[in-house]
Amino acid sequence: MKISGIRSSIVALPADEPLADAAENPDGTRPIVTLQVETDQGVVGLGVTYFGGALTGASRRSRQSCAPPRARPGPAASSTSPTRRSTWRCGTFAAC
Amino acid sequence: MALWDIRGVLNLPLWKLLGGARERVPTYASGALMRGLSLQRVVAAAARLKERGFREMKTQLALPGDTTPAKEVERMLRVREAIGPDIKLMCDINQRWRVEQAIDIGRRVEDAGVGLFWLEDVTTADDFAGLARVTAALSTPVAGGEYVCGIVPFRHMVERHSVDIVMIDLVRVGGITQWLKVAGMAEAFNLPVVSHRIPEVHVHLIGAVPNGLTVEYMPWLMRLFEEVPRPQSGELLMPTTPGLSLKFDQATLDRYRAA
Repeated sequence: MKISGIRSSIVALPADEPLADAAENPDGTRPIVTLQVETDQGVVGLGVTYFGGALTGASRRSRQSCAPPRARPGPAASSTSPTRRSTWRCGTFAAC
Repeated sequence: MALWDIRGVLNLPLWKLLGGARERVPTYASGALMRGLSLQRVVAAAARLKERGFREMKTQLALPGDTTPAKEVERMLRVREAIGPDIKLMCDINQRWRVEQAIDIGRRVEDAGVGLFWLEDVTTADDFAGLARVTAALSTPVAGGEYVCGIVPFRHMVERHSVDIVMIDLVRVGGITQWLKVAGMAEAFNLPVVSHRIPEVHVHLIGAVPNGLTVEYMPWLMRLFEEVPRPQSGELLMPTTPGLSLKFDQATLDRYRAA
């Protein structure tokens, strides 16, 4: 089985408190980075990382770079060298 | 996390893949009894959690504004009064006390007869020696670990007897693989482990390791998923579907997408 692609997004969920309806900051939001790792056999794994504040965008970009180069979205995929491809490692927490 | 989810292709839920054998795990209500709430609101919320079947719950001290040790103790007494003697009560300081404050207020809370299941992150998370002083001085178990990143700080924490209960944050420790290493390290030191946030995944991990004590039920990500484990009489039933037993709720992703 090989990783064939990844999808990630940022969602900002309402900062509610559902257990006792005791939200400290009811108008706030909680940023979450979602990750879906797709395989050539159709199996999909999900991951999340969260509450990164101002680093949320950077966190998502690091998840994107977690993909094997051939599965990366956008122009980066075509410019990646074969050496990089062969030494790919997944080092981000949402995947591991 | 996602790569372990893919191992669900073996048709087992993660906790079974990891060798777990429990049918359910204890869970505690968290995130509802915060320090920013008024005394009146926190007491009412604690009673509500008990009514909803929770047998364990966590509140916070190191109150904002003009606080005193007496006010801190009073709040704990009022929460204890609201839930009765049989509910396990934890208290989080979120690193806001100095070592001597932690010992002083910790002892006052003990002397008042509040009866804490644990006192958490009593001082700066990487002051392993300072934590050890507090842990040695109090009979209340001291919990900690959510603030450190990777596995190495946990080595220093357990070697120095900094905590009685090791709390592991799935994201900060570096994912499921690293989480399991810390749980094993704690087991070798005869220490229980507890989880930090994301109960939807931690139910698998706490349920898989022999020293898993309880799952923090802080359902802040709950609506991300189609179905999530829900507490029943203070426990979570172990999930039965493969991998993480979770699917993203596409409607939530679409509605709250920010990028």
